[in-house]
Amino acid sequence: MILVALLLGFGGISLRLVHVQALGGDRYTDFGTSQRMQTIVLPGVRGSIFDRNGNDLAVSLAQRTIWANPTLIAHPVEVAAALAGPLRLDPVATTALAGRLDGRNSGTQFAYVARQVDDSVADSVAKLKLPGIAFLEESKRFTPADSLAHSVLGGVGIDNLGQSGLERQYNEALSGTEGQLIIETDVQRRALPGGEHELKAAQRGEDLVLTIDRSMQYETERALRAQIEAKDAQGGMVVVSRPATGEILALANFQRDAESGELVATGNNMAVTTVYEPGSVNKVITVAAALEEGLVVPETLINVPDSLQVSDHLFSDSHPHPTEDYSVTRILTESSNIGTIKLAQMLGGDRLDSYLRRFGFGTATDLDFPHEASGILLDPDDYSGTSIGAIPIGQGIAVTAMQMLEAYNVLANDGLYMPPQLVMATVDSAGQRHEAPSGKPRRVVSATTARQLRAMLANVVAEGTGKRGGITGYAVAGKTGTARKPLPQGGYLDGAGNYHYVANFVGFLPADNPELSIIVVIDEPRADIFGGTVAAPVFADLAQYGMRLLRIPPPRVTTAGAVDGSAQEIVAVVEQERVRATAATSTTIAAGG
Amino acid sequence: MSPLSARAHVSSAAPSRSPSARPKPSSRPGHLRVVVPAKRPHLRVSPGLVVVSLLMVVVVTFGVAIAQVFVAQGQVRLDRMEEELSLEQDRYQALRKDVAELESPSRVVAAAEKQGMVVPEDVVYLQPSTPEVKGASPTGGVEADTAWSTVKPLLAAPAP
Repeated sequence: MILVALLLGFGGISLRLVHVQALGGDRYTDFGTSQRMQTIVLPGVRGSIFDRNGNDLAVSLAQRTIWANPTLIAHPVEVAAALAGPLRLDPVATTALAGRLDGRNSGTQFAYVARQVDDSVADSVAKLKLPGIAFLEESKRFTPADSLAHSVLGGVGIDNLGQSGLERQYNEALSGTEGQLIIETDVQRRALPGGEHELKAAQRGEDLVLTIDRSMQYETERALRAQIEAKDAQGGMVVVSRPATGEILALANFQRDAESGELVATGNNMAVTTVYEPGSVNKVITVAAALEEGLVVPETLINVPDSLQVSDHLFSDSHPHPTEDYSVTRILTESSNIGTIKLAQMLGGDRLDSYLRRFGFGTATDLDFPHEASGILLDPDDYSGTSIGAIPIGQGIAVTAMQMLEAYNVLANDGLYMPPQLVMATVDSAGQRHEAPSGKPRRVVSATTARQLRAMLANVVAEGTGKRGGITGYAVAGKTGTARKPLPQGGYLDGAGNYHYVANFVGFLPADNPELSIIVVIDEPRADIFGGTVAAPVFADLAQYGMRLLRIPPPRVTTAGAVDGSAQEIVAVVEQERVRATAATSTTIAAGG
Repeated sequence: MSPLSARAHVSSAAPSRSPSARPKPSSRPGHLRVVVPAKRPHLRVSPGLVVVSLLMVVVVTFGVAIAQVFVAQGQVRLDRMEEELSLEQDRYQALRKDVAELESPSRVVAAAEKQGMVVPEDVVYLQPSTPEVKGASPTGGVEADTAWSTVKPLLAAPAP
């Protein structure tokens, strides 16, 4: 009897062994492997974004994400209530969390509780030792300088994908490649010595080095915000650049929130994505074309009345004046609409259009920024009767602030168009720096025409409408513009019979050898509407700061600080030193008095 | 050895013959003889050798076990160091972010304003009145003595 029992027992064990070893062997092998082998995903860290001096503008840090296995949570309401404290959840959010944690509802084994939380929050939750609650590491994007250059940098989503701005444009380069670590572990998840160990290292994304200067960017945003608030405007944009290289040193955009009316640093890089009718700053293109075509010289006299009928529209100058002979320089200095229209009529539609396009209008710049606008430029065949009157004075044409600045950079750059540049270099995961290729310059007008225009624009600031754009010690060249703003439904007059304006000022300095160019555009100022009084002062502030930052001393210094060569001069002319400020690492606080 | 066994021994070495061809014993060639098998040598294992061998096996096994323990300890230490490295790298990144925040212009300006500093209305360029002053250029321009700026580059101010 006992023998039979033993035989049966051994027989059963033998059958089971055959079943385990032979028939179900693979299954158990896999099960064993899955218990021993652990695959750890190594996230590819997103590259950083630096300013031109190596200051961090955007960095990624590992943060803990709290997640739950709802099937292990027996009391989801209690667990949610316990989490509500450290996560600072209101009752509605707590109830929603309890729903997510209820395994009977979801049937899932994974649910996010809170993603990328601060260490203090994660530590507080960890101390609770709640069943079914665990952590994983995720990378989170930080901008140490808050909203500085927000519209340029753009943002990333919770999954670290670039959503806007440079983060989006360079998403592929910035994103790293995920890696994988496969290790054999013991029951406590410790690596077994001599066990399997397979590493596929994660690849860090490339870093971007921008042409932006953090200090200049801050000052630009500060000055723009202050003026928008002072003039009760709807928004504004400023671009600061180096004409010789096309490098953008600062780019700021502010807009009032549609609901709250508060002024915010918008994520929309309006200076590149939004077009506006530029007004009188566009006159310089017409004058440049007339000079380049040899139709006039700066001293050529044009008979200018204060109004002129063009097709069915009567154009007029900003102020009444008797019909006089204006030199081309005076036309620009006094920003005469009629004088400019007469020059445009001498050119004709085709030639005017040709020069507008050569200066870069109607085509997106080489920045290739997300949602960059090309501008609106009519084909000469589609000109209405009034187009030859409106377009030369900057109405009936739409450009981006960046395009307009680039047009002025042509004049600052002896007639060469230098494509704008926002990214100076990339740094790969091995730390190797790769300079970004700069765009190819192309000639738009001759150096002679450019020099003539520079002198005329310097006169605009010295004697004309742009006096408020001048700064002590430097010769500034620039042009004011005050344009009527077209309404979304068409036309310029609103229901209350009011016009809305865009005030702008574009210029560069020092006028004879430009090192810095700036465009200031203020949208719908109310306290004052003119480019010469609303936008020009911002230009002057930034020009002065820029000269200090770039360490460009004034050509001559006097006790009064004027550059007039008067008897008050106590010091001889100081040779202009053009020291490139590439090593500035902190905000300059100037000594003043 | 019996004749039978001797025969069996021979038959195993020689080809078999039919009984009729088998020679009679009297006519057997004289050179054949029965070979007495030599005694096989007895393998003698001394107890000492056994003990030494066992001891060696134990020692080697123990050595392997100890080595395994050291390897395991090393792995644990390696794991711990990798964890520390990872933590320190995270800490470095966090500190880098903190430094960037502290250096941000908005924070610097706020700290400066808190100390009573103001943005100047205008810039005054200070220049020495005589060319004999150290650093003055022969052309009348002024070259700042910027030797100290190599020590404190952040304080380097635009010349003049």
